[in-house]
Amino acid sequence: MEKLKLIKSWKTLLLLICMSLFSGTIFAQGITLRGKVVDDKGEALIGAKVAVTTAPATAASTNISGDFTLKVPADTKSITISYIGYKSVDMPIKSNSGNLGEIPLAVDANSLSEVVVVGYGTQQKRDVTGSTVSVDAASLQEVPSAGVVNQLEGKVAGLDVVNGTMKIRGNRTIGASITGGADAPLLVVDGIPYPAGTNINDIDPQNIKNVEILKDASATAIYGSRGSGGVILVTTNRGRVGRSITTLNAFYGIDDMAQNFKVLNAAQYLQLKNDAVVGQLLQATTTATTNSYVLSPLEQAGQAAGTNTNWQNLLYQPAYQADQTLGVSGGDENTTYNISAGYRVSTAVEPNNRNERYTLQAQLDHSVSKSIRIGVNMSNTLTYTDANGGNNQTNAIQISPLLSPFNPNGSLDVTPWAGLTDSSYPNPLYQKYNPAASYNNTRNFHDFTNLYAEWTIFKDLKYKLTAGYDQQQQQQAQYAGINGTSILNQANSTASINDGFNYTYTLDNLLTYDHTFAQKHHVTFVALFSNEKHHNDGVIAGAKNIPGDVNQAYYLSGSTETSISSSESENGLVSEMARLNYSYDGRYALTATVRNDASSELSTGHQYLAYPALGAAWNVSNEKWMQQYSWIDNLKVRFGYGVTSNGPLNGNAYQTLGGLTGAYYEYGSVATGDAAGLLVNSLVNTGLTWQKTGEYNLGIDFGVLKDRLTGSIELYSDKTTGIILGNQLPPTVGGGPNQPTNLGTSANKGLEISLTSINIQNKGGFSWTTDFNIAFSRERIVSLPNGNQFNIGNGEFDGWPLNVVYDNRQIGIWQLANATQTTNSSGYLVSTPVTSQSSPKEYPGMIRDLDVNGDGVINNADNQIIGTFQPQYTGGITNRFSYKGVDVSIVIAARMGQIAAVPYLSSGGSTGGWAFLGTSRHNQPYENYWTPTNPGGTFAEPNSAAQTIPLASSEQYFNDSWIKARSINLGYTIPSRYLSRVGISSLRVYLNCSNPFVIYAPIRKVSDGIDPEGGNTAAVPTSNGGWNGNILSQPAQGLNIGEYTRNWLLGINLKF
Amino acid sequence: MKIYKKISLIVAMIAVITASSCKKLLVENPHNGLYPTYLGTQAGIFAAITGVLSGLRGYYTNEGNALPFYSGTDEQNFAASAQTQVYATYNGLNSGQTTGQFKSPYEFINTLNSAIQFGATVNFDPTVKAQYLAQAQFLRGFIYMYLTQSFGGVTATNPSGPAIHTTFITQPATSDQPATLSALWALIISDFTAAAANLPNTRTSSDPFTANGVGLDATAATAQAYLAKAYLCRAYSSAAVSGDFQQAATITASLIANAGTYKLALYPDYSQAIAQANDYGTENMFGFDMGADPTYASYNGSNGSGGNGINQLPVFFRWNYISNSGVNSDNSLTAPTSGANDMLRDMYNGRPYIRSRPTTGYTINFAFADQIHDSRYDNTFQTFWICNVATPAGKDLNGNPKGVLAVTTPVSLLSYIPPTNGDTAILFPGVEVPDARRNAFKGQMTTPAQYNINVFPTVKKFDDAIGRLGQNDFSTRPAIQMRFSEVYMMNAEANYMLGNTAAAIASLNVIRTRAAFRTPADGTYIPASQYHVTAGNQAAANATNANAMTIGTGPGQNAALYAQMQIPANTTIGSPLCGMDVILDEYTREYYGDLRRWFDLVRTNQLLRRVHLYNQEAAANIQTFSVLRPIPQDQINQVVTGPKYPQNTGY
Repeated sequence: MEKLKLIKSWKTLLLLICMSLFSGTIFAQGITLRGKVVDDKGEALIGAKVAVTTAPATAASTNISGDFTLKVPADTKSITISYIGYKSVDMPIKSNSGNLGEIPLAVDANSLSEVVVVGYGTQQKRDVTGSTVSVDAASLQEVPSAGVVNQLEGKVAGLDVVNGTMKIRGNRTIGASITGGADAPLLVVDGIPYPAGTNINDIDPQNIKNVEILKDASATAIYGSRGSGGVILVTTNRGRVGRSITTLNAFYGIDDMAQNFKVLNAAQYLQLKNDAVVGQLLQATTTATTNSYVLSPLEQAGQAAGTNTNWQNLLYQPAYQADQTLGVSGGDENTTYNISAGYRVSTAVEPNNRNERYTLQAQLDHSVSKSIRIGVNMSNTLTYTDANGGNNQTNAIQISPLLSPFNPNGSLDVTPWAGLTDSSYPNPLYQKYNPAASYNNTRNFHDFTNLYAEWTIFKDLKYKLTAGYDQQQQQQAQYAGINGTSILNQANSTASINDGFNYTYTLDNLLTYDHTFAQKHHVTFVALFSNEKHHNDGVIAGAKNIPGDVNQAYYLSGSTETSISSSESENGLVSEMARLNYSYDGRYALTATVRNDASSELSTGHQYLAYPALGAAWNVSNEKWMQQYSWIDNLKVRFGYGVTSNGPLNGNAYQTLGGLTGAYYEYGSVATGDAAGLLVNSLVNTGLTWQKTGEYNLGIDFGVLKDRLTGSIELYSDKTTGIILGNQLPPTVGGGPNQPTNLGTSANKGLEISLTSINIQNKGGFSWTTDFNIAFSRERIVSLPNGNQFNIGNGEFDGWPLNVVYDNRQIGIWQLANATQTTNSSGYLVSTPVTSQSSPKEYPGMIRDLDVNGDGVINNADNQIIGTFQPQYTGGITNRFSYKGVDVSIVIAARMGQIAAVPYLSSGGSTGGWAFLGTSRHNQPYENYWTPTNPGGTFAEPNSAAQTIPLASSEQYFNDSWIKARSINLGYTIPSRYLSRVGISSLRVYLNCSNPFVIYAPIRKVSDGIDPEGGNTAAVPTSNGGWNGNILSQPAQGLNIGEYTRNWLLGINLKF
Repeated sequence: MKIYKKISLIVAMIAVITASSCKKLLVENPHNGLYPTYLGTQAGIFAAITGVLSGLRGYYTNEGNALPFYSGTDEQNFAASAQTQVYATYNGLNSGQTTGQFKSPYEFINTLNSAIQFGATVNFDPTVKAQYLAQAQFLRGFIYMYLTQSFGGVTATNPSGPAIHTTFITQPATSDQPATLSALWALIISDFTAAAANLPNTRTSSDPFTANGVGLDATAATAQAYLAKAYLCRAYSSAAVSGDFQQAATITASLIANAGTYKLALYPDYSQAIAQANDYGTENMFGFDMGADPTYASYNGSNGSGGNGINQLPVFFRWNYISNSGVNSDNSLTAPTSGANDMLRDMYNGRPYIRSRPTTGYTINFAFADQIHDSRYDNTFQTFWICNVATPAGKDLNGNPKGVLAVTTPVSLLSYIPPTNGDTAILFPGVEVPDARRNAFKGQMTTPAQYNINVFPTVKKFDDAIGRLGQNDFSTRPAIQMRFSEVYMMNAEANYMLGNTAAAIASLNVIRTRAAFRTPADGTYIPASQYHVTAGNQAAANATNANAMTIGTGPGQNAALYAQMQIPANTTIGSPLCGMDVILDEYTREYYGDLRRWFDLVRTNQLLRRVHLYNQEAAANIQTFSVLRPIPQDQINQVVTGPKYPQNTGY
């Protein structure tokens, strides 16, 4: 039904588009030229430009068959035929020329003449002095996805993408979130910085033409205070002169769990219960011979009936995704346009979770006169996120397999946990069967618009004013109704509604002077003055006692208010920038930049900072003496240095003003005594300024063997000073916890290699190409605040990467031989504590940690650096094969050498992990646990009487290296001869599989079914802790149980 | 060309606007909260005091801060789920663990200093202002007293202690130094003295720190009681000033004599003194209000699924009667429970936290040994549980079934319903019993010899029967810090130290004879087998018991304690019992569970002696320097300018 509607709406849209098509252009008298423009394989080139450059200029473009008709004045001497990516051809015209026949264009092998998007302008690739990488649309679309970030994974050396978060060249900011945060790259869409916190997936990736990644500081310094995390320039499709072209890109796919998370089955679970009693007696936790978590009556019935429920199978259902983008683009000499509409819907394997995205985009460029050009770029996105299915996965894997989800009469058992300690836990299938009892929908409207006017003051000087406006309106409505477990009656039902609004405006004044003098000297000068303001506000209201499920969150006035709050914040950025490019003879290029940024987030007097940068490039292969080395097609050496920052407080306004904390009180414990109080717990911060990163980059670009092998090698070294860290002030001077202060220094150096190889390209039409990249980033802390050598609580140590794990090291499990045992009256083994360790007192089957100082006590003195969350290297390899119309691509990504904290695989109680692991209170993932009869078990012995066991955290660190195939794409382009008669110019159909297989991931040997990419952050309980202040507060790379899904999809790319 | 001109004009205009607005862009003008300028207003001063009360409310009722108030004393051992045992055992107590005890209090002090400082310059009604400032000064004294009692001060033998700050700090500093013990006590006494002079005698509807006169904010009487306590504390210390004990005796005597002026009075019955109905009655002098409002009282009881409410006192001392109950008779000393569970966690019995348990040797078998004449054991401890879940019959010691327990009705997870029927599932008779009595009892019987880290009598005096919304919720009752009875106790303590034994005994007897008073209604809440009175024998029984409780030499009176009171205080480990022991035992009975014991023992210099006498778990590791807490390592590490911040001796 829904699909039908969709098709209908498309039809309407198509009709509208058809009505707006351009009909034709009227030409002056003269001769009429005809011809067909083709590529080297003889395929028609659509939209190639055929122009007369001498006055009076006129032009036309080729149609769907590559044909063109151009009326030219009789005295025309030549026409120019051009097409991006191909060498232009100047064709002489004689007065008797009529049909010019097939005109082949050759691929422009010298990619250095390509035009590259750089910040605030474009450059010839040969003149680029910084470290930049381009990824084109074809490469992006090898991984069909909701957003461009996922498409970039494994494609760019030094761009580390983990589960949707990006980082370029490692970490610089000590203490920053490991998954992005302060070190995340700046996204710039069509020249306008994309506001931080805005979902990049709001841009339909089908509409992206090109992504340019600026990595080094000499390239990013033009973004000054936001450049230190690298810059990603996204360019969307624009119209092109020529006949209008309609494109339809669509795919439909199904997702399912690649693998269920492995847990014990009924027999193994019963065994665990027994083993947990063996454990509690052996470890002398209690003398009771019964399990603390006895089987409930329901479990006993299940045991008798042979129940072995696979809760995960019951919970998951195949999900689907559908994605369609329809676009029309075209234009004439004065006006070009591109409009597109997209719709995407996806569901999750857990029921009642759904995402919908509607996108409408339009780009229009128009020359008002010879010197004035204006344009607009609009992108509107509406998304609906239905998260009502919640996350029942954890519950589904912890619930006993002896229980049945349904009552004997077939109805859902609302309280299957009845009779157990966790009797208030819900049935994992509750939401699946009762979607109306809860509601959690988010609606987001995002409008990203920019307008420009460009005035060519005289031939080489242009002034451009760009006004960008980004507006988002979001509403999240939540409702939790009676569910038979945690919410028993209407009085306890809750609902909330959260409305947020934000806008960002950007006003850029840009002056560009571009001049070539004495033929060989090319100068480009750019000056910018820019203002940017960000505003957001919001209202949240909460209520309880909701009349009924039907009301959800939309009838709060009919319930009892519980909370209401509102907020507002604003910040501004004022910038000036100047850049000079000078190139000589295509051999030498120089770029000098300075930007000056001021942010309202800092205190007066510390708001401004200037960011200089200098870059130089030498195109060695353009030197005459290089021509003897004919096998070298291209050789370029680049060197650059620049200074950048990251947004000082990540958009958090008012941090330097010493805000007061609200602290409420109820005098007399009655409502008439309600009073709002406040506490001074942060102090005014007058000295805060920017943190700075200075970076050197040395790069080599090369192409050899007729460009069969091309690539780049980058070497960089950077140093970040004045890192903004929370300064711990002495408690007695009145708090001031974590006052942001410029403290600390870090450094990073690295090597990145990117190679593209055309392995096979034979005349028969078979080709095989390989893109390969690998990046090594070696970050380290140079100094910590106040001269400290380390900050153990945050896992920070001078000379080490920014986040390390510092804890006791597990070397195994204590064995029976490490203590002495007796048999008790019931026939159970009872052990003494192990003899070689006095504290903590441990028994066989417990975690054995390395006693570094040999004092028989495991404590903080035995801590050591176990590893780091930073990968040793990241990389990717993409292989592409094509034969005639068939193309295949395989994208593989790798992240190697890092460790992950996996709390759910430790016995650390409930802190950030799997609650009560090893007690047999819940089902669990571990099969190979230690018992007296399984001395080779790697996980601590179950013990039903021990909620936590000593040194549990040391059990949770695992090698998280992985190599994963991201995507396999098989396509077939239907030959145009079959299509042209139905008016289709090209059609490609493809089959894609995402997450087809994991090539290498040692953690899957321990916990089968987990996605090693993980990417969630998790609190890390430390050995000597528990809740009492010893939870490591560092940002840690953790792995949580997640849905590891595999997607199959079928798609088409259609042009007509 | 027309459009060309128009566009040029628009572009030029925008360019001008851009240039002129940039200054404004860099100025922060927040609306989303309050910033320090607000403190310089009348509302700001009120909010600062309120904020500190809010902070103290959280500080005095959560586990992390509350445990050190009574752990590691003669009264308490840690229980099975205690998350940290270092305060209970002194084993490994180090400077990494006390950060919280420094950090929040100094935050409160700085906030109060802003109020006191701005109060001097902001103009508003002088009467109101005087009340504000007196309340602020009282609270500052209260917090400094806590810090001084915990961390000491610089003396001839100890190099460190808390720092003194009496002005508002707005900008970060990285240097600081500890104050002398004398300076700290002088500041505390001066703050309390000023507060006593300016606070109103009683709470009225015009008192801004109450709800129309209902509340537990400081009054002149409160400030005097704390002033007396400060003199007492200083009197025992090396910073003692001659006359300190006398000051304490004089102030407390005056408070007792003028109780009517301050609307203070002891209830005739101990059970009324701790009753929820009297939380705002005549006996509670100072405390922190709680309430059940999700915003103003931070009470989050809306979903009823646990972790809600803020006053955790009722749950710390509760054993896991759900998992560790049973129906089989079992006199094994190590495993008091076995068989199917006969209890369900319900609203009446509440949530078990299993953090702390009474010491059997001292608290159960010594301090509360007299359960007949003294009603306080029955009023303080819950010792029986009525079966609230159907359970198969248990077995007696001979393996014979004992019969099925009748279940109370209704059982509620959402409202507080005292059981009115049903069989007793669990009974702590308080004494050892013969096997025959165990066999005759259908549920589980646990005797003192069987108490362990899992099973122990539960403190019930903090139970909240009114405000909670769910079985897992904590408490909405205020956290009482000063009870009027303590004025009598302080009077007794000061007079004893002055050698006025008769006056000391007189004050003690007021408290002791009150504790003897029982009513027939009390019988509902004590096991049927325990001593209780009926309407018929009430008058005679109370008279007899009161006489038995009286320290004196008359017929039937307690002559042993009378004799002990004549022995001067001795702090040497191993020395025989003295009059101070009588007083400290009385503190135990009167205030068991209140957050104070560690401070009582430290104040009187009896911590080491009493721990060695009564608590072997703590005695193994306690040191002479254990009478002070370690200065937090954060303080030492973060003083990076000027002289290093020293650590207390021993740590």
